[in-house]
Amino acid sequence: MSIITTVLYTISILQILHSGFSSFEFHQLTKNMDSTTYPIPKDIQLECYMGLVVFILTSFLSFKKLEYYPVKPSKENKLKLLSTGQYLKDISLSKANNVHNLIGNDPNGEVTFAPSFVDIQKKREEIALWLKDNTKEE
Amino acid sequence: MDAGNPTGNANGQVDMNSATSALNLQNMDNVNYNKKAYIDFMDKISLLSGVVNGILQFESLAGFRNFFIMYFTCLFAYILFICKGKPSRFYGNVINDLIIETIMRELLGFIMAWTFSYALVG
Repeated sequence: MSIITTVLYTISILQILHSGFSSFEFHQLTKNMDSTTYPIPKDIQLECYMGLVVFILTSFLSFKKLEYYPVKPSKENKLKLLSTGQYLKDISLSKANNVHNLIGNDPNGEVTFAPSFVDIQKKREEIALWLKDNTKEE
Repeated sequence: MDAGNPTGNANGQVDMNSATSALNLQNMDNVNYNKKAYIDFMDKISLLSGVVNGILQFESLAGFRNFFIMYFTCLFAYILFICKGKPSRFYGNVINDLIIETIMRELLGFIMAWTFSYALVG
C-alpha cells in the first residue's frame, strides 16, 4: 500500500469516526429535550458521506498494476520490473502463459537445468571468465 | 467395413483449434487470485457503508436500498476500471462470480456493521 492510499484511508476513517461521535452526542442531547424526533444535522450527514466516498475511491486507488521480476537479467544487467499493465490475472491458460514468456520462465526448466543435463565445462568457463573480470577491478 | 474417424474431418485430419477451444482450460491460481481480489475489495466497502448507515440512523428498507445502490455502483466501477470493461477475461462465469457468490456474504457483513453502529449511536 502506497503512502497516498494509507493517508487517504486514515482520513476517511477519522472522518467517519468523528461523524459517528457527533451523531452520538446529537442523539444524547435530543433524548433529554422532548419526545419529538429531530433529523440528523446536515454537517454530520455530509461528513459521513464524504468519508465513505473517500474510502471507496481509495480502495480503487489501492489496486496496483501487477509487476514481475524477470528470471534472467537483461543485457545491461539491470533488474527492471516487467508489467503487462493489468490489475488482475488472465484466467485462460494460453493468455496466462504470456507472463511466463515475458519474464523468461522456461517451461522445460526442470529438465534442462537438471544436473545431468547441464554442460558443466561451459559453466566452469563462464565462472572463470566472470572471476577474471571481477578480480581485475579490485 | 469402414471404421471411420470419429474426431477427424473428411480428409482424416483432426481439427486442433476446435479441440483446444472446447476444452476451455483455465489457470486455477489466477482464477482464485481474481476472486480473492474482488472479495477483499467488496468486504471493506460493504462493512464501512454498514457503519455509515448505522451512524445516519437509517431504518428498514432505506438501509437495504442503500446497500444495493452501493453494491451495484461499486460493481460497475470495478468492471469499468479494474477489469477494463472485459470481466470475462478475468472471471469464468461473470454473473456467478461477481454477484451470486458474493452478494449474501456482503449483505450479512453490511447488516452486522449497520445494526452494531445503529445501536452504539442511537
